[in-house]
Amino acid sequence: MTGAGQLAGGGTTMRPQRLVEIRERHNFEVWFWGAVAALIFGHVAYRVAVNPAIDWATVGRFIFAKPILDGLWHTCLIALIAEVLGLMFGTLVALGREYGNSVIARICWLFTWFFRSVPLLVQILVIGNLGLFVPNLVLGIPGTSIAFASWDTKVVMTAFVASIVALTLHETAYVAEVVRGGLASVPAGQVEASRAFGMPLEKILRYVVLPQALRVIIPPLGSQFINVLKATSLVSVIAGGDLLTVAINISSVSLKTMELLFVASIWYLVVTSLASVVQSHVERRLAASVKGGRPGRVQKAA
Amino acid sequence: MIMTAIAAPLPAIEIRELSKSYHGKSVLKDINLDIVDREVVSIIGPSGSGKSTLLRCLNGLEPIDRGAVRIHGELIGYRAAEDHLVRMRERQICRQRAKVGMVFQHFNLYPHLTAMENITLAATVIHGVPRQQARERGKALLAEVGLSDKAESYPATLSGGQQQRVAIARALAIEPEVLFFDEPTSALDPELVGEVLDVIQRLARLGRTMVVVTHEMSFARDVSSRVVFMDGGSVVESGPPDVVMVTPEHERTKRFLSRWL
Repeated sequence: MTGAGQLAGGGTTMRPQRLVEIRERHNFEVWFWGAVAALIFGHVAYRVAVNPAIDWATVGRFIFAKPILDGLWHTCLIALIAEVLGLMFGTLVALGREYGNSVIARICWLFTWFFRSVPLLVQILVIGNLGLFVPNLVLGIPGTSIAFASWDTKVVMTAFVASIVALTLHETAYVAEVVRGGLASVPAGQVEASRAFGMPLEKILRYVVLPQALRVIIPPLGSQFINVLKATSLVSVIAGGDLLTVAINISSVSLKTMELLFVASIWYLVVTSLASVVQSHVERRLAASVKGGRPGRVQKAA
Repeated sequence: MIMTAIAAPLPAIEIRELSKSYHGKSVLKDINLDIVDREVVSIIGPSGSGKSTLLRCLNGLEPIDRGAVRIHGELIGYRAAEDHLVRMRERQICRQRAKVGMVFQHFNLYPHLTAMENITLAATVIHGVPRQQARERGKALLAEVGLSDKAESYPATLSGGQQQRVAIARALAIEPEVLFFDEPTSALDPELVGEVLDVIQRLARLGRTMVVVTHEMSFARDVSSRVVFMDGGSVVESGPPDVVMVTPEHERTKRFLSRWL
């Protein structure tokens, strides 16, 4: 300030000015890239829309067709059941790995290792064709001929059941890793303090560890559920009765392959978007309910 | 003088030939120590001398290799079998740990619970104390540590000193026979140390039996009835603060104290 004043007073070329008003710089880059993007996407959309090979009337005809909606319902059902069961078993596997004795911990590790390593598509094919090498499912004492119950695998393992079993096993392994990460995020001092006050392990888990692990676990679980929703499409290889199975069945009769894949895509977009909305809502609620534990909240309170 | 025939009261804590090692490295060597009721014992010594490990062994948090710990006569963590001791099941040790209230260097308060819930959790969950009764006691304990207005505050909104005072109230809530403090002021900003030491000092005046691992030499000198100096996993010297801290016998104790006094 003083420097500028001296310069101005010294009769140099600098004019005495009061430059205080500030205006936003025009951001031409955004306009430029926006135009480029609009051009590209507009072109693609236009080419798809006017493509003579795609019969949009067929898309419209099938989008609310009863078989498609049935398939959609089955997709949601398979995903929901697999997610709920996966959540239950996955939590148990995670607890087994973190707090079980050495045998249990190793079995749980083996389980996650196996079901995370074999591709889901292969798992679905193996379980869908289980009857080929396990003709009967027997509940009895291994190594003896004592059996309490026995079922014909082909009767029990319908494509729908096989889909749920395969996705549940897969989901259990992934949820186990997510939950384990959550458990590990709780500082060791929390468990130690609780032990010092004489709390038995199951009470420590219920009142101290799991409530704190939950806020770390829930966000990735939302993404995991969306993955399961999409992964249900893989069960079409064993005709699991899901949305994609139905779409492929119809297209093989009507020969409108692309149209029915579009129908399926539209529904996948709808359900995954709905799931995303629910996920972000849950996350916001979670952030708000974790009083004091979050920096943002602390600043407000202080 | 029939009274003299009655045996001396059981020590609050009785430590006999306690030894422990981690991965072949000896961390506690043949510790023998008796602490009587209403005594305040400060354990001092350099880092890694085994002070904190000793505390953790006293309430069965850590298994020991040899020796025995008794609190008011009851063997902690182990039961006698013929001529040796066998470690108890975790569930049985849990019951014994309620004899000891513990305060940690890093507070270890439950961040998802309010100050009041922190204090009442163990009592309601383990001992089945009715919620209302636990809260009444919680209120009294918060008043005792001077935080009556913070009952519904979450730990993250409290200062370090306040958190440690809540932690002390939490340790008192299980109605322990003895209190252990593991470096209760080491994680605090210097200006917050005083409020925590004041609370501990008040408990001492009320006749609480306490074992305090500390680096606060003036606290050890002014508050404790006995000072135990540990080094390399052994008790080097033990006695009244005026003796151990003013005219220590051992060269090692002198060297350690020369840095503080």
